[in-house]
This record gives sequence, C-alpha cells and structure tokens, in this order.
Amino acid sequence: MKADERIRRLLDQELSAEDEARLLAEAAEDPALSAKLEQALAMQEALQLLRDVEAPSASLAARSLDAALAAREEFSARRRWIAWLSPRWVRLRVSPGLLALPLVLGVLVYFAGRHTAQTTIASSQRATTEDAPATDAVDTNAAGEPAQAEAVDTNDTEDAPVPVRFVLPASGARSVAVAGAFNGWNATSIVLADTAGDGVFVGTAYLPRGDWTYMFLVDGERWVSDPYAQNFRDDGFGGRNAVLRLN
Amino acid sequence: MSRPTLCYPWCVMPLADSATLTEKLPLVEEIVLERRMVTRAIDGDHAAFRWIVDRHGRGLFALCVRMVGDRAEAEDLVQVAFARAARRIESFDPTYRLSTWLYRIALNACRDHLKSPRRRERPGDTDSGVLAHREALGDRPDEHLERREQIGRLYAALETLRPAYREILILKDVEERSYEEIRELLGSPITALKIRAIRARAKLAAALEGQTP
Repeated sequence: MKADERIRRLLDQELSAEDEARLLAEAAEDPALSAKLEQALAMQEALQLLRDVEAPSASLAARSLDAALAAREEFSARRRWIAWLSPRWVRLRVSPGLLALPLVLGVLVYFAGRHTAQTTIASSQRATTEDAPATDAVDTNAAGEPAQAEAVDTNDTEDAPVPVRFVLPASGARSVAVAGAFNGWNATSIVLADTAGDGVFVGTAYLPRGDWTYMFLVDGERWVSDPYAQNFRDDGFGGRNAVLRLN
Repeated sequence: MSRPTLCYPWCVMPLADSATLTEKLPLVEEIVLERRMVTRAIDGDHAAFRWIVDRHGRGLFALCVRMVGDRAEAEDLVQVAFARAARRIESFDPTYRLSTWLYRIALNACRDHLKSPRRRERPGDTDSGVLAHREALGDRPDEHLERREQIGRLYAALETLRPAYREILILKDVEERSYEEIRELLGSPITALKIRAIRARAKLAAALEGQTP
C-alpha cells in the first residue's frame, strides 16, 4: 500500500491499531515519510480551527425567509401562467338533441329578421291622373330604365311627414324634377340629382300621408311617368300620372 | 394539482442500520416533523418556511463561511440557497434528510459563486472569514494573534484550491463527516472521494508550505 493511502487512512481513522503502530515505526526510520506524516497531521489540526463558526448576523434569518418566500411566490406565479397557457385535453359529451336546438333557434332568428326587414321598407307609389298637366306621358323614362319612388320609413307617427326617396335612371338628362299634387305641380321644389355621375337621379322629400299623383319633369320640358309605379290614374289628356300612396 | 406524497413509512427513512429502535425513535419524530414541514411549505405555509430557515440557517451559514472564507458573502449565499430550495421544494427527495438536501443546494451555490468570473477577479475578504472563528482564537493575546494568522493563512491556502478540493477538506477534516455522508452530499462514489481527499490534502499542504516565509 502506498504511503499516501496509509497516511489518509491514519487521518481518517481507518487504520487498525497494529497498522498505525507499524506506520509510526516506519516513519521513525524514514525521515521523508516522517516529514510527510507530520505535515499531514499538522494540517488536519490546523483545519480544526475552522470548526467553530460564530453565529451569523441577527437579521440573516429574516432576510433568508424573505428571499425564500419571494422566490416561492415568483415560482408559483410562473407555474400558474404555465398551467394556464399549456394545452390540455377536454372531454365533451354532447346530446344530439341539444346540439339541434341552437341550430333551429338560429334558423328561426334568421327568418324572423328577414321578415322584419321586409316590412320596414315601404312599398312605393302608384299613379292616377289628377290635375296632371297635359303631357305626352309615357310608361318608360327617357332612357327606358326603371324608375321608382319609395317611402323610406313607415314607422313614424300618424301626422309626421314621410320621407320618400325618388329615383329615376335618365342617362343623358341634364335635370330631373318631381312635380305632383303634394307640391302643387311645382317643378322647382323637388329636384333630383345625379350625385354618382352614373345617370341615376336621386332625391328625398318629406311628404304628408295620403294618395298623391306625380310625374317626373326631365330637362324642364318633358313629362315622364314613373314606369314602375303600381298605380296610375288618367290625367284626362290621354296620359297617365303615377300614384303614390302613403298610408 | 397533484402534490408529491411525502408520507413514507419510517422503515425507508434515512436512518443508520446499526441504530437501535430506542436510538431511532427521536430521529423518526424529527424526520416526520421535517416531512410535515416540507408538505406545509409546498402548500405555501410561511410558518413552515420559517421553521426550515430557523432550523438550518446557522448550519448553512457555517458551511458557506468555510467554503468562501468571507462572512458577508456567506450570508448572501445562505439567502441564495434558501431561495433555490423554496423554488424547488417539490423536488425534495424524502429518502434523504432535509439538512442533506439543503447542504447540497448550499454547496452548489458556493461552487457557482467561487467559479464566477467576478469572484475570481476579487477574492473574498479573509479577515472577515477569520473573525467568524472568534472562539478559536483563544484568550491569550499572543495565542490570539498566532491563531488569527494561522486561520488567515488557512483561508488564503484554501482560496488557491479548486472548489471540489475545498469541499472535501471542509466536509471531511473540518466537519468530520463520514465518507457515506459526503457521498450523499456530493453524489460521487466513495473511492473517488478518498482519492480526492488525498489530492486535496496534498494540494493544501503544498499551498501552506508555499506561504511559509
């Protein structure tokens, strides 16, 4: 066995009494071994000086506790986030009957909504001739395109004027006005405008409730009957005025 | 969230096989208390953390002072060790003693600190380390001075050793732990620890001899 290992065993108290005596006897005859042994024993004795350690400062326990609790809190918060963000399996048990219920409700709501929308748009105007000016009124407008006048909203109160939107496609026309019984056949009070520049003249007027005959006056000289009005009335001169019914 | 079960039967507790039942009983009570405190600490009980800090703070401080030779640094390392322990207390293995687990964490903290570039540039204040052993200095003025120098030289020599050598010297020659205990703390085989002890002692002897005027 090497000297280093025997010295280690001596220091670690692993040598039997006989082996220890033999080592000491050999060291007495071998100055190098003796020096090595003395050095090792002196070093171990010196290390014993580090055995007793004074108590730490009084605040160390409190500071350590604070550090531990803060670390724990930080760790718990991070773990909560990770748990919240990590994907997980979810088992769902769905009854087919319950699944059909929202589907049926959805269909009902859709059709109810469509019906309500249709009833809020008022039907438009119809015609009969009543004090209409003598013109060569025709069933189509200057461009041969459909024209229309619509009550925008019929939900107002009984006496309130009804907003009516007049539309007449008249490509190439310079001006379009609406004249009727509601404005004393005045061709200047309700003038339509081609705001989009596509030949469609549009304008809105607020009219009292009742049945009104009307005509479009194109370029200040040509009377045009609303071709798609559902009601018409003879003007007594061979032409037909459109009739707008605001009930 | 499931919690690790720490209620092991006492027969798998870390007790020496040679101990008799009478010797074991107080230890069993101690271990049961430790496990209860760890379970409470996992649940976030502040009182349990306080119990752990009060019970083991001084031991960890002594270990850290010997490892780094500086009181202030040792106090910082104790706080670091407790913070790390609190963060991973769920990973505590109940087949070991709580003190073993905490010592292992503290040793790792010391090792990290000693290997840090900042610490290498600026070694610890050994005077502060010497003062941590005031009782060992003795009462007589000449003895006091001599021992003070001796402890100072010892810390200066330890400072030149690798942390692994410093650990084995402190655990074996200062704290007089068995190789079995050191194996639990460092996780190395006993044969390797014995070889390391021989080398560490030789290195320390050489470092001390190099200081001799």
